[in-house]
Amino acid sequence: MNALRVLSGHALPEDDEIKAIARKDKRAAADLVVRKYRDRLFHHACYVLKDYHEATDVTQEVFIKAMREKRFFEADFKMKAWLFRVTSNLCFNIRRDRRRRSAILETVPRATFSAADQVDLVFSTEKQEHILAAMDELTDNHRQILMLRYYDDLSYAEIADALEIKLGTVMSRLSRAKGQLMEVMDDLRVVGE
Amino acid sequence: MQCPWVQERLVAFADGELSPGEATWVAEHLESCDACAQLDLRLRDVTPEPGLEIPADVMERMARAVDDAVLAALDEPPAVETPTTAARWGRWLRRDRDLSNGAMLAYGILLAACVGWGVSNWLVVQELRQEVQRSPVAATAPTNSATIDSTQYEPASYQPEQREENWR
Repeated sequence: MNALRVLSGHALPEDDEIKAIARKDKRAAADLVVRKYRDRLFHHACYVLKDYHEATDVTQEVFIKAMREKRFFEADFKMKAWLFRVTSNLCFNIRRDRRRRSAILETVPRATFSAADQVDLVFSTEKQEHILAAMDELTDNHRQILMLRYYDDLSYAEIADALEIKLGTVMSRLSRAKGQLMEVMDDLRVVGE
Repeated sequence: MQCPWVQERLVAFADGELSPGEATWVAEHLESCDACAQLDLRLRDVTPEPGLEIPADVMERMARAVDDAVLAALDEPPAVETPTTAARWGRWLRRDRDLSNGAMLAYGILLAACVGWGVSNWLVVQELRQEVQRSPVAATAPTNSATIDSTQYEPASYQPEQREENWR
């Protein structure tokens, strides 16, 4: 992890520069990728899973997969989209497993979900907390695309690469997702009043 | 511009992801259409904003865990590849030969044509056999000499009576 020390205090290089470094020193390139994306992927996993322990496991797994992926440092490989896609898929698989487990054992709490591991959501406004809570009511597709856009700050083109869908589909899916979110928020307001 | 067309693009408009031309059309429409302008405001109001604050010790623990995992993955010996069936066939066909992909393709087509020709012939034979089984009398050639009328095969020049006369 020497490359980080060299670059400390400087902005991390672009993906293309990292790929160029990988041709000479894969270890240094791997270190740069980890530094560049680790926190963002961990945040993404925390938003979806709301559990630090599981989010850490997912982040680890994503980077291990990346290091084993032969094409990862190839010139035409979209590493950012790949990293977010794999993170998102792993997170949603865990959520699906949780749902299945809770359907079988409705009253038994999850053993790994200790209080210390639970993500403490601290948003600037109460409304943002409500928005994240409302996102739990959306379909997986809609929740996923909203998170990639607004929490991970991916552009529409990057989302299209990450989800392997067309740019037009990104636009229409986001439009529908926000429409659905608006309806859920309205319903929550009605219930709250 | 039609309202449904604009409403489909309101989110992309707010995110700054529309082309300049489309963004101008949407902006002009919003100035003249109250319903779409209202919807635009409501959609903007439910825009999620990142605001997760994760304690520093959690981030440190996560960073250490990820770094260790990545280092371990980098130190792993490279996995031994098991070739696919297609790759194994390709290697077998190319053994000791320097063939290009085009030559391999032509070879494959020729091989397939030969096999196809053989199969079609076999099918024809099968069809004939079935026909024989359906009508054996018509299709079977006479093989037993006892069943053949001997006069049928006598040559026209053979006249035993004349020969007998000459002897006398």
